[in-house]
Amino acid sequence: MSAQPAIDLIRLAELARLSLSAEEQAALLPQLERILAQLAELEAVPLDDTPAMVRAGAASGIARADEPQPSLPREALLARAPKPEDDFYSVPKTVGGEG
Amino acid sequence: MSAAHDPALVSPRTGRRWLAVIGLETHVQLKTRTKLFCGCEYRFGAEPNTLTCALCTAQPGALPVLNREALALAVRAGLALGADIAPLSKFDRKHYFYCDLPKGYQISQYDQPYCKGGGIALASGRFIRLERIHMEEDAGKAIHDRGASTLVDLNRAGVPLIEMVTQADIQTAAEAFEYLTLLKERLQYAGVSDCDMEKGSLRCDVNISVRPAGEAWRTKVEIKNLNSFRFIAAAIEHEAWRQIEAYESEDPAQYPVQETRLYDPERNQTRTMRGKESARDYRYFPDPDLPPVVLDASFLERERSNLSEPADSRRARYREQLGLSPADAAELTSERAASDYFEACLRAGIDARDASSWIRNELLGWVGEPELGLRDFAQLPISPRELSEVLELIRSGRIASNAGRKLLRARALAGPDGPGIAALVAQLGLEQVQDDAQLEEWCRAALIGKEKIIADYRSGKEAALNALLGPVMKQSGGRAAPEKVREILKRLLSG
Amino acid sequence: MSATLPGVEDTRARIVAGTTSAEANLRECLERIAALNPKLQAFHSVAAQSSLARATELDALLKSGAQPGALHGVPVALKSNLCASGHETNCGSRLLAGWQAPYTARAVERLLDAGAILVGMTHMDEFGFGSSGENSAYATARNPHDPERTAGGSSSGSAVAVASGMVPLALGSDTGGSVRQPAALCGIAGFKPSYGRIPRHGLVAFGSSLDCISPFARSVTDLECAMEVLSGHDALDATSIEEPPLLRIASEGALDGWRIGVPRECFEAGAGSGLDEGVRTALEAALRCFEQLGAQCVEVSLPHLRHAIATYYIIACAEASSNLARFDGVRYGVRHTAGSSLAAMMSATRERGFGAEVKRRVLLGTFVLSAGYHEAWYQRAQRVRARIAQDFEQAFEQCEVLVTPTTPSTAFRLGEKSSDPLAMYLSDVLTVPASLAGIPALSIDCGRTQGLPVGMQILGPARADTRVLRAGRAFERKNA
Repeated sequence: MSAQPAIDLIRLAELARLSLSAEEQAALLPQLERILAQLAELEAVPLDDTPAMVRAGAASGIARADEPQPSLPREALLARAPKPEDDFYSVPKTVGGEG
Repeated sequence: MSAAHDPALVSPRTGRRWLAVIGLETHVQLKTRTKLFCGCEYRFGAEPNTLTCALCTAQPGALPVLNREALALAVRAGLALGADIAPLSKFDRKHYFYCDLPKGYQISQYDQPYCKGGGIALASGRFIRLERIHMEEDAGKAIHDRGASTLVDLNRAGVPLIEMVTQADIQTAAEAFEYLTLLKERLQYAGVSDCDMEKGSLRCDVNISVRPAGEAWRTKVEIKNLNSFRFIAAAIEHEAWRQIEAYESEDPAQYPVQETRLYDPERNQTRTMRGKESARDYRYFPDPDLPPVVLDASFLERERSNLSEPADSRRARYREQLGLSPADAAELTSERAASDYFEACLRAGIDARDASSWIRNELLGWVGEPELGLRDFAQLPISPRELSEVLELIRSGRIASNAGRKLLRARALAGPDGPGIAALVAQLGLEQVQDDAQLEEWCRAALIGKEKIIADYRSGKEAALNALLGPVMKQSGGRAAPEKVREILKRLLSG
Repeated sequence: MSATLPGVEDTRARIVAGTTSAEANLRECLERIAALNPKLQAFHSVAAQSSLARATELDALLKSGAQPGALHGVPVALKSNLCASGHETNCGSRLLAGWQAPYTARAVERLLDAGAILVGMTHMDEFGFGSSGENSAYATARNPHDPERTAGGSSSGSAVAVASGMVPLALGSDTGGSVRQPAALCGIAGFKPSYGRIPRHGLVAFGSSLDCISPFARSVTDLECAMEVLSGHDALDATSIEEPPLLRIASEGALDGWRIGVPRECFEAGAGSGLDEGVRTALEAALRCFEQLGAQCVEVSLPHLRHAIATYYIIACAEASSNLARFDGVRYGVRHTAGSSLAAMMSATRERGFGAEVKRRVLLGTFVLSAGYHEAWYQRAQRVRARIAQDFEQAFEQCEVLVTPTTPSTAFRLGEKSSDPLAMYLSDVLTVPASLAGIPALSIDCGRTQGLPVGMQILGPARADTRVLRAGRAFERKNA
């Protein structure tokens, strides 16, 4: 972690599926840099071997029995879909892999 | 490694010895009723998008809750493969965007898989080590070949999987085939999965590189779209030689690059996946919605006791303790249901050889017969007790031995509420006549006018008796007990 | 006006006693909403028809001799990130314009089963990202004490609905202060329970390890009524505490012998963004009040408090970037197509659907989780988080509860901080620590400075929700 972390905004936007305009990029980059510079103060905190705390509360292995529960009716779900096609959700044609 | 086993691929052009370095990554669907994190029931072949809920379609606000049975089966798989089970296990989110991945992340396990180590011993004695096994949820299905859009069916989304990654220990296509065959058998017998590639409950990707014997490892290539064990072996063969030829061309532009290739079964070749993917960054972090899973000693013990005896151990036992032939043992263990049935027959008091014979020669053949409508052996409607009843009827001579088949089939078709064995014997008139007086009457009648045959028999031609058997059987409408008839005829002719 | 309106307990009592009917009471609510909402912008949708129908039904049920539920006839508002069948849950975002969830949150079901009437859905900062209500894609809710000022955020509308007397009870969600801060700025009570106390099923996730459904009301007593109904384990949330619902009766009692911990870092000028003098004065008066109740003030220290903002924003943005990945235009929401590829559709949908603050947080979150930065940023933040939790544990060895101001200042003017996201983040310094540690935190009104409300925050150890509510109720009674 350096005092001024390098932000590859184009790469981040691609990873996050955000198609930022040039103006947005110009506005966002300094904002993000400034925020990260502030957040970077954590670098100096002495931690010894304190383990990470992922969530509050004592973890208990809550699990459920393998009993079927009712599924949602297809109509209810597809009615909310932007572009349902027959009994499916549809998206622009892709060749497979990552979208 | 025996002297006869030489995995080297010898180039016909240069005579150089090359070795293939192969690892397999296998995804197996756990045999639960419901999905990994929600209560949707999964059924192969269901109507699209009918097996989904708020959670597996990633509706805002929905939360995952672990399926206890999935965990149990996953642990059982690890035990069946001799792996070390981690006492504490967590789930991580693996991020990428795709239309069949509703949350934009897959719940998987990253740096703390629940299993490490274990593996499978091949017949040659070579051991294929597993690097790790982890649990993860399946994605849905994207369909690209129907119309102008890509269609998405989320029925599979959330189905429980385990991913088993081997070390790069496999050296030949044949070994890969054997490994997968044994893996499938091991997991089926453990009751963990059906491992049916046609139904998508087993999928396998191959990682393969080649190297000149004695030299360092080279670039590995991933192969996907392998839909049967046969194709996997063929793809490995093809790809190994493709890589060897590429290296032997000595043109660096042709050398294999790290990539994913798809196998084309029609042309029996691999080709580069279309479309270049930018480097993936999955941004793993522990899923805050799922507390860590504790796998304590009592849990492991329970799953260990749920493990049934593996197939190879049963085969050995059938051969050594029961005296069955290797062929018998192999066929009886070809699927767990058949082996379980065989052992239930033994417990019902049926002799091992009889049970084996009837299962092999009759009952196994029933699967797939349209009239009987059995999808698999586990659906067999004849209980061991009923089989035992039929065998006893034959042994005691109350029915002819070839009436057994007829009787069993009739019982199967009659259904659970239909007439039982005893009733069917009467209904079908299968009861053999054993009444000595009646039989003797028919025998005497049959002897009339058969002086030539009688003379032949008395002069030593034992086979002449057969010619007398026919008329008696005909007289009795086929219900005379043939052995008794023989006995009586002999008695009558010797007197 | 709001002081004379019946709260949760009173509303139910009057309906059950027959002094009024659920229907008549609801009509009054709807009239007040019609009069005030155009200016104050608490609600984005008001379900007049369905709520009246339900009120009529409840009246009939009572008449037929059925046992009235704990919230019988009580009108309730929901923050627009809670799922409720038949209602619009837009999360303050264009991306979910018009979206109705295909299911109802378990906590909301509990309210409805107890006889509460769902009146409508309230404005919020988009996806919970904000502390002023100005990040809503629809409208900014206004502070009833001064409509040119913020009502706080992100549960802005729900706070306003209660503070202006439109409804006696509203649900919000608190991830880093999003219920406590608006409660403080609007002069009402807001309670963030222990993490896991109320099941999160049906709450659109922002920071999964931080989010708590949290109620607003005008008194602690009313909050306790709500908590009785809302709290308790649920099998559909694997992080919900395996305990039964909180019982009010457990929180009776005085505060004799209690030690009130006062964290010095929370009162230091310069802790984050500096404490207003008016806020300091009000808090000091509140501490005197506790002493009059028999308690003793004890100075304690939370040494890692100054790292809480950085810790919180790294973790919250990381989790947010992950939780918002599902908004890809495939299965719900407003889709925008661009070009012909799937990736382009997803990017355009998110680009057009998300506001600026959402994009900032998603990018920040993606950054801190990305390869090469993950250990130095995300993992480090989780470790500092553990330290912050330890600070609280140690502090609670010396006291029963901690008291701090809820916010460093009173309600700021709209537009004052909206151009400086960092300044906005820094104002959360007093609320985020309890979120990181998962401990219960109550904000109650403790006075005015220059006419604007000041909120006091009471914190307790993990799972000691009842203790915190008890302290708050005792204070409230004394100051009634």
